[in-house]
Amino acid sequence: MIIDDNTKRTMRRLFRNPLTLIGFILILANLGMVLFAPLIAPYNPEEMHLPDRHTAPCAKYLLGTDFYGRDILSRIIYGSRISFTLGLSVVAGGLLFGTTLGLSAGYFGGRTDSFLMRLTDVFLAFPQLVFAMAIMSVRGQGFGNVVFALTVTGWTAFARLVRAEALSLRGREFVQAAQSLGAGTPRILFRHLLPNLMAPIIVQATMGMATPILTEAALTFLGIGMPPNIPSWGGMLSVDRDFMETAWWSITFPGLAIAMTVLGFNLFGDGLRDALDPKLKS
Amino acid sequence: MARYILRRLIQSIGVLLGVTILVFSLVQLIPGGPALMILGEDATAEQIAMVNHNLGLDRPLHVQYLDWLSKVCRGDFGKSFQDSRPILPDLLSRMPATLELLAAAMFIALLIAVPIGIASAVKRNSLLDNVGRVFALLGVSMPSFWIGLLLILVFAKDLRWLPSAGRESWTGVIMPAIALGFAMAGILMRMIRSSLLEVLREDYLKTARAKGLSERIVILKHAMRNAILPVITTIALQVGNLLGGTVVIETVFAWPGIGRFCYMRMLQRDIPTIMGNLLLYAVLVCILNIITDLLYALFDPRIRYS
Amino acid sequence: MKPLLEIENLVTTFDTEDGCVTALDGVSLSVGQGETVALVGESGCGKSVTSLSILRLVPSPPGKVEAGRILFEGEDLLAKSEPQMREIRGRDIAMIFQEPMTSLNPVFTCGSQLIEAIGQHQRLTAAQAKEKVLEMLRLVGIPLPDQRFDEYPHQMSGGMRQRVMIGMALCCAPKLLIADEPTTALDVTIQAQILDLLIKLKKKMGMAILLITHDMGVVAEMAERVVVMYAGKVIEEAPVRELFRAPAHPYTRGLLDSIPRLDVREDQLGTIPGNVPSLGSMPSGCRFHPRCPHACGLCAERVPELRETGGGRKVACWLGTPGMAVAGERSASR
Repeated sequence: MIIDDNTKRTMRRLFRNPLTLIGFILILANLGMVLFAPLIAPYNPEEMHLPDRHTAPCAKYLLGTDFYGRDILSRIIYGSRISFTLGLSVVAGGLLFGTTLGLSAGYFGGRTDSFLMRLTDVFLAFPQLVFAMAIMSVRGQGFGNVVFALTVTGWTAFARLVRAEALSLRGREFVQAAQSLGAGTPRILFRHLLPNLMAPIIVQATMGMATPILTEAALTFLGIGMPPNIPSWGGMLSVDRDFMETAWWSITFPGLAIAMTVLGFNLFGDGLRDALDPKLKS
Repeated sequence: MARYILRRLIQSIGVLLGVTILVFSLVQLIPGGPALMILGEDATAEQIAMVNHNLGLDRPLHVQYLDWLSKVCRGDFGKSFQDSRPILPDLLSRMPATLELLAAAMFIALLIAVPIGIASAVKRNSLLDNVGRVFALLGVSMPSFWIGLLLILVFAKDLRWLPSAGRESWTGVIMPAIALGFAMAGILMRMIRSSLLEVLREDYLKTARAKGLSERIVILKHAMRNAILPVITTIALQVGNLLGGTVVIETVFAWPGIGRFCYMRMLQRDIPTIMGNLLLYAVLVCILNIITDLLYALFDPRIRYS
Repeated sequence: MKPLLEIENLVTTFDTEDGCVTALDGVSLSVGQGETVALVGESGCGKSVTSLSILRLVPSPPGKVEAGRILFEGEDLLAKSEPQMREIRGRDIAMIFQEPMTSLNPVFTCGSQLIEAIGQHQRLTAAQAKEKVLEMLRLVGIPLPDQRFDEYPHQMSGGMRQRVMIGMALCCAPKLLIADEPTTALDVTIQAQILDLLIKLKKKMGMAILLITHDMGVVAEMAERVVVMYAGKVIEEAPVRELFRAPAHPYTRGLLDSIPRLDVREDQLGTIPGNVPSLGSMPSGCRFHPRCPHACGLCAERVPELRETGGGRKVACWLGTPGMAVAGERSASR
């Protein structure tokens, strides 16, 4: 990768804000858990230490154990895999659909545009969580179904963003130049327009990790997301919510893991936006 | 103004028509079809054909849709698979509880967001601003149901100040409203801050100061009246999410609204109720959006007079 | 007689990302009772900062008035408390701005914005205040004032809005009106109308005007005395006729050369080579010397003080001082 001056300047601007750095560290920590879960988790997340059910945090179990005597720290570490891969898949799906539709809407304008925008209006008419819950209750638990439900309900954010940006770029010289050189429409869309939209898309993709992670946690907490045998943060909260009086740790730490992960993406996305879009800063 | 409202109404009707198509296609997502879902895995082909015939599912799709749509338009949302009661009355009777929770959450969100958002923008980059911004981001990063669980743990179980569930006394709404409104508060706080920062650069504030107005009036009257406009738009966009949030929060706090009712029916895969409920939510979101649009017009003469 | 406004050695700085910059570096000027003084210079020379400093409206932070005095009717405005300043703003000193399109608040009616200005300084009943506003609107030449009263700014043209702004500024009969580029953003025909209106109102109400502009045509039309600023400093001051007849500072000459004239046939308009230096990187000595056709060694080393040259004129230039034999060069350049 070539690091030119511009990139360096952007990087400097990016990490000048300590909050952005904290966000970056939170994301890195999360990524570390995802990649090295088997190496760093002290126990098998499924293993039930039945005599040690609901043990408070101690030297043996750093964050305590749950109702079945499973190590909470290990389950949090393995649970990061679900959140992370799910977030990535949903963002990828949203990027695929949203960007294509948004680009077309913004570039063609007119009827294509109003049709696609009305389409996003229809999808936005439902509260996302309820819509996703309805799909999940019909389809049943499972990773694939969660990805499907969250992509169907979440692609509009990308579409609207990309559409607005493409609309503002469509009349610019470099697009007209490409048109006059006889470039085909897909080529104009993906070779000329898309690269100029990278900054807002990257920001949206970063911030866009937050919603699926939160929604998946809610779905699983409600028992219609991930199946209970897979360690996931929402599932951990669901198992122990009835015992929070006796085992505060069992609901505190998984929730904290969700909050910190989402916070990381929000902080870093915020910083990215400021760094990539200097005109927003005065 | 009248034309503006009319245009919004027509738009909403178009959107709702699209909504009915989407809701109707939910049936198509059932693995193996509704009949198999009702009868179970060991159903024979004849049994399936009979259920399909009884439910009218053997007709062409567009006929099924138009039939369903015409019933829905007449207020007939069908009958529940569970208890065979008509769906709409059951949903509507639970509506007040949900709206109460929604309003309380909105109130709490504004109560937190407005003062901190304003102070954050006016004293930009101060300690208060930075704390406020982290607080706002934390607000949007915490799962609302987790906030709810923590609130129950501390204020209901430990301190025993507030009831952990139900709507029997008026104090019951406090914790669910806080849990639900917290994320909204974060979003609004950020919006108020950035919108006010934008407005603070405007020339008309120089004019207002040059008249001799006090800084308080300059900010609260001249700046805020303008800064509130994008905030209203944000509220319109977020009100759906807030409504969606009521489902989890109602479940956590055993709040007797549509959210909890619908969640129970979802667990039982009561398809007609799920469909009716989705429709009702979409109608609610549309109505709330129209209300915020009217508010916007009320606040912005440039829309009112065009 | 004591002048109405006297600015002495004003220093205003701004904190920026690249450190502290000095926007005004020892600015001195005065405005007499009922006098019209034009403050002239290119954008970024500190004209607007000067005007905002007088009303203490420089945004702080990042701006800060570091030193100097601003005497208004003999009292130092810099020593006043914020509530005292609020009484002066709008009542004794009023201001109109460059952009009529953005200087009125879009969500309030024009009438209510004028009423607010009056109500801030006078105790009137609602009916009296409205009557006064209508009178003011009539005075600034707005047709159908009753109807305009309830209109919003976006329903009016730019010229109309500037008239409203002028009406708002003058409704408390201020002693000093600061007009910051009042015509720059308007169409040429409207410009003339607004200037005529200002001249007419000045005759009628007798206030002093500090006119901030970069347009020498506007200066010739309105001003009695001219103060020329360059890069945060006053470099020349003279009665308007004198200045146009014989500009003393090479920069002033450059400014005058760059306006088209009807009476002299010119093939090419004069331009000043180079650019205005940025506040962060001021040249040493005379700030104009890198662009000055007459610069010599001394100019780069020492800052020329603003000195009186007789006939009410002042100039900050080494030209014409003892030890600088440049008289011949000076006439040759014209």
